[in-house]
Amino acid sequence: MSEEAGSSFTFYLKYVLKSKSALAALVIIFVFVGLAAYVSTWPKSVAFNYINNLQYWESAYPTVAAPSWMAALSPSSYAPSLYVNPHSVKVYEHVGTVYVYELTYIFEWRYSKVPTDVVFNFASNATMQYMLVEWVKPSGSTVNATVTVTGTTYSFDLSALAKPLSAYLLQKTGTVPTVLTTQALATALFSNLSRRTVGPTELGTYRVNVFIATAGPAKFKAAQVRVMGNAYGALGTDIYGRPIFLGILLGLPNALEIGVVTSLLGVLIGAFIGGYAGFLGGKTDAALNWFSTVILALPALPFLVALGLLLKSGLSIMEEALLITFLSWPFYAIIARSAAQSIKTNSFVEADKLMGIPSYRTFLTHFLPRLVPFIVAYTVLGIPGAILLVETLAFIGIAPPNIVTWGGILDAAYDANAALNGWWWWILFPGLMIVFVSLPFVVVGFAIERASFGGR
Amino acid sequence: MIILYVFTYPVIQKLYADYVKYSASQLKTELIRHARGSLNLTQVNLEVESYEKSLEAAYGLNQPLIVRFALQMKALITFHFGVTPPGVSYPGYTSSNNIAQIIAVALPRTIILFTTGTIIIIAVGTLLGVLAARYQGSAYDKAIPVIAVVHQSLPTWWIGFLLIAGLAYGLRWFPPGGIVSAGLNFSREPLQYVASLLDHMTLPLLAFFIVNVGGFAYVVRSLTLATTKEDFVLTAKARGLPERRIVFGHILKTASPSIATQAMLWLASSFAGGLTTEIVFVWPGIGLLTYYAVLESDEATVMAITYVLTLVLVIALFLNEIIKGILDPRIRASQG
Repeated sequence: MSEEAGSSFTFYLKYVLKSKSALAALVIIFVFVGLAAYVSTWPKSVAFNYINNLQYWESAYPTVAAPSWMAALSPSSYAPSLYVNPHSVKVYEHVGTVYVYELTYIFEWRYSKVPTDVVFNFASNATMQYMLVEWVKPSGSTVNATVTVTGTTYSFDLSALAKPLSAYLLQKTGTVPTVLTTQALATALFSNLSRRTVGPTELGTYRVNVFIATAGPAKFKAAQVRVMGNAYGALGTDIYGRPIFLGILLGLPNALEIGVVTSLLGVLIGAFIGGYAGFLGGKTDAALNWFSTVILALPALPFLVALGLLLKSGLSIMEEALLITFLSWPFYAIIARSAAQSIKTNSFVEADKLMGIPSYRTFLTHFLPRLVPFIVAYTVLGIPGAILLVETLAFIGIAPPNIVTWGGILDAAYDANAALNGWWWWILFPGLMIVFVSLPFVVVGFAIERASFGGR
Repeated sequence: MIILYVFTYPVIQKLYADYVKYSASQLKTELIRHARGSLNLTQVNLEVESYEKSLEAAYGLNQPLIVRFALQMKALITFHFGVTPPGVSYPGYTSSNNIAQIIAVALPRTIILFTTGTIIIIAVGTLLGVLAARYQGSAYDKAIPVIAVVHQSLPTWWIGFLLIAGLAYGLRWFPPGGIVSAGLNFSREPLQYVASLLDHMTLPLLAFFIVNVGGFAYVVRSLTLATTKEDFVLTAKARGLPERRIVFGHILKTASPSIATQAMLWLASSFAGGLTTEIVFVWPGIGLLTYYAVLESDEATVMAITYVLTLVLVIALFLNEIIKGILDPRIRASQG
């Protein structure tokens, strides 16, 4: 029995490896699995943070930013985000226990688009008391702003500098924007204001000096100036500033896990029940067949939605997988039944019966090994469907809590009117990911199917 | 139906009990809130109790099992699904809170959209599939499985989402959602109403078509391929019959019963599978109703919809048997 299974296994492997597309698909699957394994080693708090800690992302990344390569494609309408670390940190002066540090930041700006915001993020081991930001533009004109701070960590954006910046704008141009958005305030820092109007963005090297007064000598754990453009990262960010790329990575292990578990369980149960029914025949067969037809008659999606509603207290991944399995196995049972019926016509079944070998042993030794190709092919073919179903459920809002799913990301995009606002990256990439993960499984499944059931 | 009932018996009982309790408590809060001053607490409690009693009687919860079964069965068969919980209404459908009436409004809308879609898919898919089988091995034939593979892994709602972003909001060719423009009335301006309906139908149909046509063409191709190798096709070719007559007169006619089975299954499952498509396109059919019901935690409506959809599937399977009988002379001969 093991010999037979082994030889058939190598046969399939050979067959699959022979086909170039299936080989490529296998490689892609391995890459995905490796990536998923890597992502699942991350602490659970990352996913939890991604879903629940929305404030964190807002100050860390620009909101609804396009992918950063858009800035390269059209520099006039997109500005990338820069995360500038201090060029130098030195003690400017110290009087008694009060130390004043001078942190110098230098960055290049080559885009005509004004950034949406600038975030200053500081954390030190000593209490910070006072902060002076000196912003030197490439043309040499300087903007000064002061902030009063208390505490060891402090993070603020341009809205905290609204007063000095609007005063600067008034002094330079004679007017103040009616609505002081961070974007409007950023023009004070980035636009050329020498002609008493808001001119074009100054391109070149910017120099930012931040003077921080601390109580006692300090070490800075974080001292970053974040220039928030409207483009960030490989795949952009969503309305809360969460990078789409991170969300896609976090969704990968869940999608694969639930896809594989659901498909495997469904096919195994289906193969056992259907195979056994086809093998036994008679009344057991009729009863099992009837039972699977009844479940097959249930409309899957509304039924799952109804069940999800009943279990809305929060279901785990495994529970969700079991629910989907419950609805999917009859489909495989019907196929396995017909396969078993054709195996049954072989004479060795008759021989076993004559020798008095119990029926379950005949089933285990003669039927199951012959059902292995069936199980493998349909497991692989069933994975995309399972992933699709899970993401669809997540899109409707039925998903395990504290778990990032692509469907959930798309649900958030739907709720935030991403289509209306033209935030295409938020819609395009999570959906593409569903397709990319499904495709190699379909290709390999087709190859195995061709190998086991002959070319069609 | 009975089978389904037995199968979901515990769920249904729990639902009914929950529902009665929930309705009663809702009524109580409503009464206390709105009838402040005119009713005292005892009167409110009496009112609520009588309401609870009437609900229990309606669902037969106070009866022995057999009577309860008969009552609930009768309620199901006569489409008495009860009413939505107090405070829950579906303004896009009808102002009535009778679940059967709401579903009666929703179901035709879904059928209009997805029956049209499925018929288009069946027509185009059959044509593509039969041609692929006829010219087996050509580049065109090889393209069909590829399309099927790609389409098998596409979520309809995501395609819909992209279409809305691109064609509705980007290029402004089509309305982004809904069933007709606001304020149109069928009895007053029927032509405009139909035009607006078609305009609104285009995008969901397109999404549905893109996702499903490849799969159907692939199924038809597999079903037809066996027929192409049969002797009578060779005979027809030898007789010098025109290509078109061989394809449509011989091959398609022989394969039609199995194609019809597939078509019927697709048609039946399209109503249920359209749930997310309807949500994305805000098409006020049965799928969107399910979604709203889930959001409102309206279990009674969700159960009623599931029941109706199962019924539709069973009816479709039944019709399928009849159609197969009509199309396949062998089945007719063996029966008659």
